[in-house]
Amino acid sequence: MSFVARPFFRSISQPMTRLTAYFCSAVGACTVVSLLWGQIGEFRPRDVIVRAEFLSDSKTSDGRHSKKSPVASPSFGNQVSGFEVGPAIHFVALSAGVDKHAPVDPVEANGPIFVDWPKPNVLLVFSGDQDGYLEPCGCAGLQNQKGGLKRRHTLLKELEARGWPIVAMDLGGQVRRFGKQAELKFERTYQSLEEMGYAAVGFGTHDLRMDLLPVAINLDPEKSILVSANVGILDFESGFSRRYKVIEVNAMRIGVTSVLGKTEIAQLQNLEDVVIENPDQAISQVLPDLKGEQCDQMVLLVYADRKEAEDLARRFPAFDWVVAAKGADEPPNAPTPIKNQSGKTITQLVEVGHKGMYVVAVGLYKNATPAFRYQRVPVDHRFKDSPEMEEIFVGYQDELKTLGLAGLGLNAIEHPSGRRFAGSEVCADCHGTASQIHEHTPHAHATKTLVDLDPSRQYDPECLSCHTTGWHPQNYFPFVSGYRSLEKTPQLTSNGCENCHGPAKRHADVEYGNIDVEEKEQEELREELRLQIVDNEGNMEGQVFKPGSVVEMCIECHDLDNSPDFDFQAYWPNVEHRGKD
Amino acid sequence: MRSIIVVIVLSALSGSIIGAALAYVQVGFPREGMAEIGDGPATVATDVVVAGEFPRVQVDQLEYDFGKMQRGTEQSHRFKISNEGNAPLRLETGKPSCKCTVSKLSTNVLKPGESIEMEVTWKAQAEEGPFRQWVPVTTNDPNQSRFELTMKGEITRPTGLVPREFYFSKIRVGDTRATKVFLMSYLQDDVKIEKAEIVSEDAREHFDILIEPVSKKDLPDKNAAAGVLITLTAKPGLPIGRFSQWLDLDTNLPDVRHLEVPVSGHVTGDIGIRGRGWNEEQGVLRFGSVSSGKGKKVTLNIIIRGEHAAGVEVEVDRVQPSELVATLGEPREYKDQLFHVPLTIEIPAGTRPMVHLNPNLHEPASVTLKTSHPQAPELQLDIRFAVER
Repeated sequence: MSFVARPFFRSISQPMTRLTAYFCSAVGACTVVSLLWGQIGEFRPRDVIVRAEFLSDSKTSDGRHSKKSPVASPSFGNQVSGFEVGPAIHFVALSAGVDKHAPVDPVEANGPIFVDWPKPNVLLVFSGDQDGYLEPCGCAGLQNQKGGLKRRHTLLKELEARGWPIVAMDLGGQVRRFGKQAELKFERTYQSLEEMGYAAVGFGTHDLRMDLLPVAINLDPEKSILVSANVGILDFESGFSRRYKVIEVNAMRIGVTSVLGKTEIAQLQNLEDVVIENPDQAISQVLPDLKGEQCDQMVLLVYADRKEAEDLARRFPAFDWVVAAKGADEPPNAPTPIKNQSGKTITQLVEVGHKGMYVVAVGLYKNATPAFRYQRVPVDHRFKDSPEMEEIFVGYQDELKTLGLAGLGLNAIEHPSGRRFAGSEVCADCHGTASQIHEHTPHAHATKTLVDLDPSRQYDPECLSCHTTGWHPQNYFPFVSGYRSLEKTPQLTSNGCENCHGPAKRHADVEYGNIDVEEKEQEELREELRLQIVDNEGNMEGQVFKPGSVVEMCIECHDLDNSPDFDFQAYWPNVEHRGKD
Repeated sequence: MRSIIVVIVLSALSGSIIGAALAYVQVGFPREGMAEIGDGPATVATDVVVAGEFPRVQVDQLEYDFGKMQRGTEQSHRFKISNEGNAPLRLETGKPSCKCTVSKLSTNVLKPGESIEMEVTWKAQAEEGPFRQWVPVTTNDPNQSRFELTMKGEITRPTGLVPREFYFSKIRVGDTRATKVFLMSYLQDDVKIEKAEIVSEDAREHFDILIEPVSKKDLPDKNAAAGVLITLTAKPGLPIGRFSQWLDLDTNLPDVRHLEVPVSGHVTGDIGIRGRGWNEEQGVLRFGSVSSGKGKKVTLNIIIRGEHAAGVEVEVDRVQPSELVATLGEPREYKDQLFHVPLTIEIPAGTRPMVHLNPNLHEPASVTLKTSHPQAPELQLDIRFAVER
């Protein structure tokens, strides 16, 4: 530069002209610097930059949009919905007529992630409140669903492959039910978390209802992933869990502890092998030791709602990150700064959502601005299934198969009506048209859908409850005379007539003449099975959950998890049948 | 020398003013997050700004709080989106975080100075508790290529059960244990249970049901208007193993005239076995298929509780087939009346091929232990496995 400029200025003989030239050049240089500064200021908020999710769509100097993809991994979203090349715009009718099996671009649907992130010194990864969803939440076409341990593992592996130092932490809440199937899930989940390299795992309410001690015994004592300040297995000195943990990674020390909140503790009774303390007292006991560890960052995992977590954040400002498990299903796109009375940010509050649909990643940058970056990561199908987790999941399905319903402790319970099931073929003898219509609906091959999956889900009670006839849809157990297996009860495969109309064996027996009853009872039995659809069924205000309505029965299976697009008016024409024929 | 300093100072000053003016014309004042287009959670634009005309999106608020909504009801909110720039603003709604959210736009292009209202509707179909949903919107504003319109609130129901089920956890055989559930109304000052009964007739004799009124201050949810406490007591006599039942309740509450509350628990003996592959209900340990070359080893824990726990001795009595190796570890006392004895069962590498998967078809395989416990002098573990070449 100087070897060009110097001869130029020397060539100007007049001192004033040369001075003017110097002046103009300096003004020009400062203008350029100022312009750059103005643009930098545009991108840099005063506090910290919180980058939630944004498109990496920039304009080139000729005014066209360019797609830049600084992320090497395909999972992280190098696609953007640019205006010139983007998909058709759909502003209306987002809820109706959607083909649940149509391909979905996860990046387009849920946004790109980690765009423009430099390598963090440490990446904190938070998950929690899986609620028993080992697989993506629901079964309405996997591409429409988020979550699952298989995808989560792939995410972690891809981050690791980038060389990002990860500290993964889970708040607990692995299951939401109880019984043998929940215990199998619980055990497999702990096995998975250990294999995924989690550094710390807290306890949720339902976790403590599991047979925790034998599961804890099987965990690797070297890894020691169970961490809680106020929940101990047997006691706090047994060694099955730690009250806090310090993870040293990439020259940073991350201190972490967890607590089960007061409102959650109030829901627990009759626990064996577990001791629980008040969370405030427990943190007060643990904190001096944790502070003494000279951590760069301190994390408090709170299995409680957001308000309780926020209260703890204010009471214990030593924690840089307070993470809440029981917020909304969907975590926010930025952490919430918790401020003290003088308005200074003391802690960042993070929510992780439910059902494992998201994890939250926080990149820490030592001696840099911003000091951290935040990313809500949708665990969608941009992440392929991890073979390691698939193996665990296949093992889980195998175990369900070998145990069978009896081994799972699923004893049949009387249907509230006290009636027995006959099977759809019996119905077809008299109600021919309705049966023909049913035969051509997905209801008719609901069980086959499970059989055809890989691995097959035909032994999974949580699937059978809506894919066979004669089960309680939401509580996953068979009614007396309901479906048992393909071999034992082939007449009850499919989501048959009686799941909506009610068990019909006595009605059929009477109509066949197998049982002789008074005419009055015969008519009552018929009446029991009749359903009446009202005008605008399912759409009238307050009708959605009106007891006794037809739509009420539909949403037992077509719930938000498994049929988020369900709209009675849109779906009914596909199965419509009227009258007794 | 002095003139050079003056020139530098003047140049810097003039340059700064000109630069700042140009920067302001192009991009305005620096923003903090999305403060300029709302006070909700921030997203940050990072696109490179170029000279010329460009659109500029502004939203009246990024987040709207619906407050408390009763489950099954629907609410809407209109977000106002404006174009404060000097070129047409193009808007495109993306896939909402939940399909219950419906967004409608009458046009997708706003001329400079124009604004549009975007209606977002949320039907509270989810379970009670907090909710947060959003609709992503992409724009051609070079400084704000994407933002989210977020709705939040809390879904409530007029009636609540805390906890939601009668869960007994483990009951030692012969013991009595009680568990409690509050039934609360958030709307009604008077809660009555008109009928309460275990669904299964056979199981009714094993349970006592007690219903007591509870003052408002003693209810677990301070927002509840009234409630009752239901205590279910499991009496001695329930068989060993898991049990699941339903408690039927008829109430005076209009929205839940009839309720079925799950009842479950696990009756256990003094001695239990735990570990991967072990099914306690069936007394079976499953190895599955094992490669002869590799063999396989499983470690279980024999858990001994109760007054006899401290003095119990356990030894391996016999194994069948003889290729199986069963080894007991040192007993460990975890607390008073709780001992664990590790038991390792191994199919050693090099075991000849054999099949013991179905006791009806194949020779049974088992490990039998002798104990000094008065209630369980012998423990038999059925083993299912196949050794492949």
